[in-house]
Amino acid sequence: MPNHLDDDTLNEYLDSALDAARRAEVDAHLTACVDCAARVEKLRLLFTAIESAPHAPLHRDFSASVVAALQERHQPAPVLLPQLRVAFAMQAIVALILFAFAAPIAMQALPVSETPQFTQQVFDAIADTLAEWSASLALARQTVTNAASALNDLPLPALSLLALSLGGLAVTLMWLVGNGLLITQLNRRPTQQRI
Amino acid sequence: MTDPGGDASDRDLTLHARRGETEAFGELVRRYQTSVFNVCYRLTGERREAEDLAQEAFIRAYERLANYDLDRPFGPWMRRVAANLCLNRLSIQHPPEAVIDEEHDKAEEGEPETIREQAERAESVRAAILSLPPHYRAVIELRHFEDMSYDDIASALKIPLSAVKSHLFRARKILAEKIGHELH
Repeated sequence: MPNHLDDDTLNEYLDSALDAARRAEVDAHLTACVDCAARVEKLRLLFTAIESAPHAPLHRDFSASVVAALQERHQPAPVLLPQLRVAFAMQAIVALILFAFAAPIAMQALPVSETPQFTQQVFDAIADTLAEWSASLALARQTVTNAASALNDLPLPALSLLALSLGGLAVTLMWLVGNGLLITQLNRRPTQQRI
Repeated sequence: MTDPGGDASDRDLTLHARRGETEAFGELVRRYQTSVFNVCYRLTGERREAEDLAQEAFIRAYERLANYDLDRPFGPWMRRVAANLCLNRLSIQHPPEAVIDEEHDKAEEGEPETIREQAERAESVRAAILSLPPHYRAVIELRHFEDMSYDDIASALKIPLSAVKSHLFRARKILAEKIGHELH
């Protein structure tokens, strides 16, 4: 009998990793060699033992946590909290009111002597430019001009600097409250659920 | 949303899951969580870590469902995803030494003698695998449980073909020494 097959060859034989010619040679050898046939059979039993090892038991069903994690990752954009909507609306309302009171005061406070009819000049320039682009935009010029006039006709409220400061403070507080709520809501949403 | 029940095929469940129906994917998780967990357990040797990795593997698989070939069985693909995840994790961190969870994996008391012997034998095989060094466990897992070729293993582990053979044959030799007396 020629030399026995080495262990590597037996492993590759059972792994079906030999080419056809070499496999035929090994088959022929195993038919004739009792020792190598016994060795390959022992190796085959080892393969069976490894592959037939039963699964370790899994003591809990984690499908629910996987589904929850997936839903967390793929949920639609969060809807704003009702408190947040109210805060944003209040911010906008307070800001508009403050602007309505502050604009005439600011216009009056402008140094008129240094920049005479500044606002009117700006509006005219804008209107002229629009008119040059298209005759149809002439209406816009009239509208803008009317708006400027109406703004000038507004009665000036008797607001002091203190009142304006209080208004600004109110807007600031509303802004802080609104953004605080927004940050709180964002922090409440974990980026990745621990599973 | 439709409600694919437990009778739906893997293919149907996968199609539903691709449309964003996470409950359908949950059914796939229920079907394959044990085998996927075992892939992770054999590769990490640590039960808690294996559970975490198995769940992470399912989430990763869900994200990659678009790349999954529906004509191929889901189970092997899913286990391959888990194996890759574990191998990546093992390659970036020092793996813990395998500690078998004796408390949970022992055969139950009061079982008939033959069943208990079989369970003990199976447990010794599993223990022998888990006692291997991580790089040996990896080649055993990929060759014997994922049915990968030498070339595929070399590619997955990013090691030369000669190293695959060396690790695999050496691992088998160690296993034969540990459990050889039980082979019959």
